[in-house]
Amino acid sequence: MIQLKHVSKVYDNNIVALENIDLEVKEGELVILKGVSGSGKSTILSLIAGVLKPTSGDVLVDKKHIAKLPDHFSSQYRRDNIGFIFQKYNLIPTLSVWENIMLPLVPLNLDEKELQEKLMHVMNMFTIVHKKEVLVKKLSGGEQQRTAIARANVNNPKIILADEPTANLDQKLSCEFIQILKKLKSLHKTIIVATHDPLFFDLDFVDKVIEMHNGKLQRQSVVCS
Amino acid sequence: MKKINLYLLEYALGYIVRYRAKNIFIGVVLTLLIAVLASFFFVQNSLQYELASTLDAQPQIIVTNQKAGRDTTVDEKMIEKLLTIKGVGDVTSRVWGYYEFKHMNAKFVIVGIDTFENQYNTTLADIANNGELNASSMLIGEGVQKILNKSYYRDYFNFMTPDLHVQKIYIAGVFKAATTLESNNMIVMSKDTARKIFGYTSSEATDLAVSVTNPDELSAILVKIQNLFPTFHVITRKDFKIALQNQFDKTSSIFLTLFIITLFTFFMIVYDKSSGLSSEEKKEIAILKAIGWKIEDVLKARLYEGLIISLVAYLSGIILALFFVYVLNAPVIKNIFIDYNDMTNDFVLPFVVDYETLFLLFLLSLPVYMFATVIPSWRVATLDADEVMR
Amino acid sequence: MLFFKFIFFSFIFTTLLFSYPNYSQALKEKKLYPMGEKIYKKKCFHVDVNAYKSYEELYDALSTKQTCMALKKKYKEALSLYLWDIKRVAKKENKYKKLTVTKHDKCPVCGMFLYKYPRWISRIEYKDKNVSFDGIKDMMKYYFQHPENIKNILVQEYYTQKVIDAKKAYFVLGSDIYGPMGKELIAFKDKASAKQFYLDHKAKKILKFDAIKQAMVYKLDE
Repeated sequence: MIQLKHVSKVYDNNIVALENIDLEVKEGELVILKGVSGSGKSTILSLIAGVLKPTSGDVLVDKKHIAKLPDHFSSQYRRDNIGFIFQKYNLIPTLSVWENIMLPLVPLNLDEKELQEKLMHVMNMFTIVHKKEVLVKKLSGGEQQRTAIARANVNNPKIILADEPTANLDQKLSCEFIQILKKLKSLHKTIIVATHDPLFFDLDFVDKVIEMHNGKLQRQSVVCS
Repeated sequence: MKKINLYLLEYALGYIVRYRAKNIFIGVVLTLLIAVLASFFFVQNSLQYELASTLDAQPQIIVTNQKAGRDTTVDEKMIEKLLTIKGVGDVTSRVWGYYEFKHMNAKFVIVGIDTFENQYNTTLADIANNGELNASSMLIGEGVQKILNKSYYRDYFNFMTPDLHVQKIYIAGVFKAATTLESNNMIVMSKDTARKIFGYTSSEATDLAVSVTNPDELSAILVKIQNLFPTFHVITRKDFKIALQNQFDKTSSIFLTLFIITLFTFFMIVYDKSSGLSSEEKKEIAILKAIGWKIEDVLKARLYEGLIISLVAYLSGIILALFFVYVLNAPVIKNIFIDYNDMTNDFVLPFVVDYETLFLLFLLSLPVYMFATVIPSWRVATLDADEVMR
Repeated sequence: MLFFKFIFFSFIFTTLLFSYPNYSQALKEKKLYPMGEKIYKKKCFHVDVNAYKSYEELYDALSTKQTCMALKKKYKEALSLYLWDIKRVAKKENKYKKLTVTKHDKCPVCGMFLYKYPRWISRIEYKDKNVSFDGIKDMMKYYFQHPENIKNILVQEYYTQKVIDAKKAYFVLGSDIYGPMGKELIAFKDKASAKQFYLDHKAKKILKFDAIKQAMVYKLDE
């Protein structure tokens, strides 16, 4: 349901991030984007999220041309369909855990009860509920990550995008993340993880591994379960 | 109309608190600006109210004599001639003038009355009906009493006549006048006593007050008076009102021009500050966009933010102004208006609430501020979120 | 001879001292009588005017009377004049009460609210009711339609605004003073006042009440 067709991205300073990429991700698949920093995998995530627009080519999600959406609809699409886990988490440090997790829901002006239900659901799912009043800047790395994951899931999006999720984590926490990934897969979400952490390359619940180098697709391999 | 997004409001409130340095600065500046402008308007309103009340107590026509282009005394014999004009209801001679009490740096207005004449002024009418004035007594206003007490004159006062005679006049009582202006400066005594103090002869008067029974006849009467006494000045109450109003308006417009310039400068400062968002603020907005906030959501939050700050500033400004004007009595601003030399004594401003003024100030402060914050925010909100987050 | 002359002149002189002062009517009416009235009410109310045979006697008596405490010459004069001219004669000159209206009263001819034009109110008192108008023109229009059963016709005199009997008044037509209904008839209590107004305000004619014809009244509307 996610398709990239002949997509290229050149930044303003003439750096070529992506060159003629063709990509496809089916619904419910867990795809690993493999490559070192600067290989263009973060760019692909941003394109799928609609946060970036390609210089040429098409980005389609559920047959919709994401790149062509004006800002209003682009934000709507993102809110309804995407849960992004950033490399640096991009939490607001001066707000508390629950305030951060709630942020995607704020503009929706939901009923108080409904909002609380959604909040509690994700906070429980990612075991961060016991720290809900704590300011994010006072959390440990793992707690921050779980907060970021909870925020990405609070609106029950179909697609989860994770950019270098284990870059700042130790072995233990990295393994915890893998477990969370498993849980998300079991919820039938479409997940794309951009990483160069080898922990991800041999997982049995991964559907596809796509290798990137210097903005070009190297290899696509399917993993048999 | 959907219900107000309380979550957004809460977020805006939190935002203000989290970036409080910048917001407090802007809030304080806005408060001060509103306070100054409001004080100005309050003083102006109170003074206009006072003056309107005082003016109503003036006679319809005042006739003065001139010598060498300056005001001089009239002879009471003129009264009979003026009374023959049809439509003239009454002509009273007025004996009044200023007396400088140099020691206390005060200036009193001495008004002589004849208890058996018609009075054109309510304060004087009350005194004429109730007071008892003989040749060496006087009634003083409450403000005058305070000044005299300070220099230990409690039961009498020694006036100095032009021929350097000391005239001792006893204080028979204190009156409360219809307006504060009167209470503060006025001393009332019989006409003959006043004449003694001013060094007038027994038939001299300061000027003549003419009342007219039918206002339709006023212009015809003015012409007749002028014809009878070609060298005299004939002034109507309306002329006086217009002259005072003009002076008022002149001062107001100068001040307002200055203020609009200040407001404009403020607008520029706020606009500049709002554009110069710190990197943290920019990042926050980018994050919000990345997690699904639309530009309109971001702007709405900024709008709420602007609303909260300007509303708080407006209310604080108004309260500050009220305190400054009606409790502290508006020290500097009062002097912009009160230029005429009657007013060297202290003067308490009456409390006048003008809803139009409050509404005008509301319109000036809130929309201006919100405008100055929303436009720059729109520019930031449309930045490519991705760039900011890396 | 010289001695008699001396006696003669001193006699004249002393009587002149207290004799009836020579003030104009205007001064007396507008200033002295009201002042005298005020003094009478406030200080000197035990004086029986009719006990004195001449002005001079009255004036003299006041100087000695204890009840009128030491008054200035000016006040004594005003008081004496008031007592002698007004109180003694006690002409019950028909003093009509001020014409008042409520906030709802309307002129039957033009329908305008009367309370807005207090100086122009005129009234016909019929046997069974009173009808008020916003000007003499409208009153006359009504009068020509309803001339029976009239008790009084009252108008407000222009200069003094006092209420007078229209039948005795003088009316000036075609002046430059306009009432709420445009050109008007203006009422005066005597011929001299009417004449003065006529000259001052470029009027067309002066008429007594009975000389007013219906055609003239309607002509004012042209």
